[in-house]
Amino acid sequence: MPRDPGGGGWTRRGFLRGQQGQPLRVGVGLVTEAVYREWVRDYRSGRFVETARKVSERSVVELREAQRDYLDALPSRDDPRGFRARVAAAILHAEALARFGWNQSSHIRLLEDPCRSLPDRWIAGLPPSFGEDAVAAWGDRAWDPRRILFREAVLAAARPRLAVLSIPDANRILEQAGPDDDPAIRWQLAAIWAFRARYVREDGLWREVTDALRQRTVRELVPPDIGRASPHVVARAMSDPDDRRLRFALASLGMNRRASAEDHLAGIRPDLWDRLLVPHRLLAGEALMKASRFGPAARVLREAAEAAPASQPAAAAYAAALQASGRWEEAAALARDRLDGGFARGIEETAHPWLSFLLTWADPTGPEFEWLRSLIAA
Amino acid sequence: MAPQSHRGIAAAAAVAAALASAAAAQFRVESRVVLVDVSVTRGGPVHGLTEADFELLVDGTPTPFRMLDPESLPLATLFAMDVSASTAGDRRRRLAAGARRFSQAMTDRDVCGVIAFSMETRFVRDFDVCEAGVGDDVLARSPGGATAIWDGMILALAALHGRSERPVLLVFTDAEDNLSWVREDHLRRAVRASETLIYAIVAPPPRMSRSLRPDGAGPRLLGEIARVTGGRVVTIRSDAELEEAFDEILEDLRVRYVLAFTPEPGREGFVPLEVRVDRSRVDVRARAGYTARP
Repeated sequence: MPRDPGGGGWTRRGFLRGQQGQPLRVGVGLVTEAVYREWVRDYRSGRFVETARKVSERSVVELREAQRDYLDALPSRDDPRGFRARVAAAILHAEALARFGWNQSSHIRLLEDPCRSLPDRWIAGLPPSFGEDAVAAWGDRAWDPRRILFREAVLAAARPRLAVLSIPDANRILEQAGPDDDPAIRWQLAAIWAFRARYVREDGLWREVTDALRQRTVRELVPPDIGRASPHVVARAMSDPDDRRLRFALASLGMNRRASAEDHLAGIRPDLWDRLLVPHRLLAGEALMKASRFGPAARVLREAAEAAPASQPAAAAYAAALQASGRWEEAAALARDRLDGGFARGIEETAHPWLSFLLTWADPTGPEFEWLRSLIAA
Repeated sequence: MAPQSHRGIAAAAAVAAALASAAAAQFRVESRVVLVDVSVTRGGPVHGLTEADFELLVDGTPTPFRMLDPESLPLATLFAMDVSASTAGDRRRRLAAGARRFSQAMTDRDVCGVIAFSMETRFVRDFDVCEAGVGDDVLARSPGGATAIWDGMILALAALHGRSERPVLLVFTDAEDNLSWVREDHLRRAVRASETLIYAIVAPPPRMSRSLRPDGAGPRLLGEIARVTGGRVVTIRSDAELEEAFDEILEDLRVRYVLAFTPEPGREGFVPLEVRVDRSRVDVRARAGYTARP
């Protein structure tokens, strides 16, 4: 069973209500600027989990005070050392949120304040590849490191929470980050809303999902060619018109608008990315099931089940279509094969392409963190 | 060949197998039959009813039937255990004890299997003779994670298909599904087309959840689909009632009446059934219909 790397466990409580983090420590010394500086240094030296745990145990109030003093004492923000030290403070708190969850309101300010203290362009003395990577991920508007690093820190904090299905945690992080100011954060939030609408039966969110996707369409944050080359999952998804059409189809099906869903599905290109194959087949199958076209649904869902042999949603969808077609013997053979498949050792993206699509799945410390860490370690 | 329910073929196989091994067979079974499990209660189960006490209406039309001895129909019980985080601690221990007691009360011709579901559904124990070890199998999975109960039930219904024994699905869950691809209408359709008798023990979720907006939709759906099959849901208020809930279901299975009829050729789709009992103030529970296929 997958475990929260922070030790909180992948629990029902964690899933439904969000990990509440570790209890705050009492009776320990206040976090001074010196202590805070030492934590940042430890973090930059590679003690990621240990340092993030220490941070997660302290109150936001004392952390903010220590952080303010720390930022005031740093070299100029135009000095590479000062630049990296500011970024390190933001990433440290992103890591704490990612690993140990959201335990207090205003936590987002600990990411935001260091990013706000950065200059508005990549400075000389940093490896030029960082600015280039940012542009590769997000387009020309990524030249402002304040915006891009805050976005990366927020996404890096939120998406590992999704990897352990701490949906409310991820939701809180993204909502507190001011999604209206950042299309990528809003897009990621919309992906979570779609999950909540479908699985947690919050049907009122379907309209929000649709609106958020339309906003993305208008703003054109990520040029398609740039996004396609990007290693950043969110940027890649945002730049992909097929991904967007699938999400519109998902929302349409959620609102019982089958014809609209079929229109969106019909607009998808035949050379679909591999990562979208299973979501496409599942949504196409669902649309066909809604139209009581069980035979074609079974054909489409078989492709999903074959493309993702370890995926329970794909197996269940295919079995449901076979049953609805009266092909119970085939459904029985499928079920026995899947139920005999041995114990799931953990959540692997390849086994859950449907969930990966719905949530824009992330590893507990995914690519964003690697990029951010390399920036502060360089 | 006469049109019929293809699930009726499985039922026929079940009946044929049962009667072949049961000297107490009461009549020669037709090659194709539909079985209707009937529970008659008035406070508690009503015993001693005979064929003459029942009336079976198929699509509103009185239809000839035969009554079978339930003892002549071995059961294939599939325990479907929600091992999401809601089953941690004492609940698991009581769950295992209940399953153990249930299994030990089965005959040596019955078989039991165990599947565990949370985010994934897997056999913990394949179908085999029912014995005390079934309780231990229930404990075999560490609890945790989200619940894909409807996905698990679709696969469980499929896995029970084609068994020669009378299929029974016994689900334990808090019915708070939060990760199934399968929608309610998919499950309803599968249940209506299945010959499986569904029972469920529904326990309260560990805590109320703001984000889940617990509106009782899960337990309601489970109750609805169990009723369609002629089974039912036993809702417990605390874990202390868990073992008793198993006993209640066991009693239900023991005291049920089984009617068998030959479906009329030429039908297609869901055919409603109604069972009437010539007794006053009794509650009668039976499957709502069967799915006929040309």
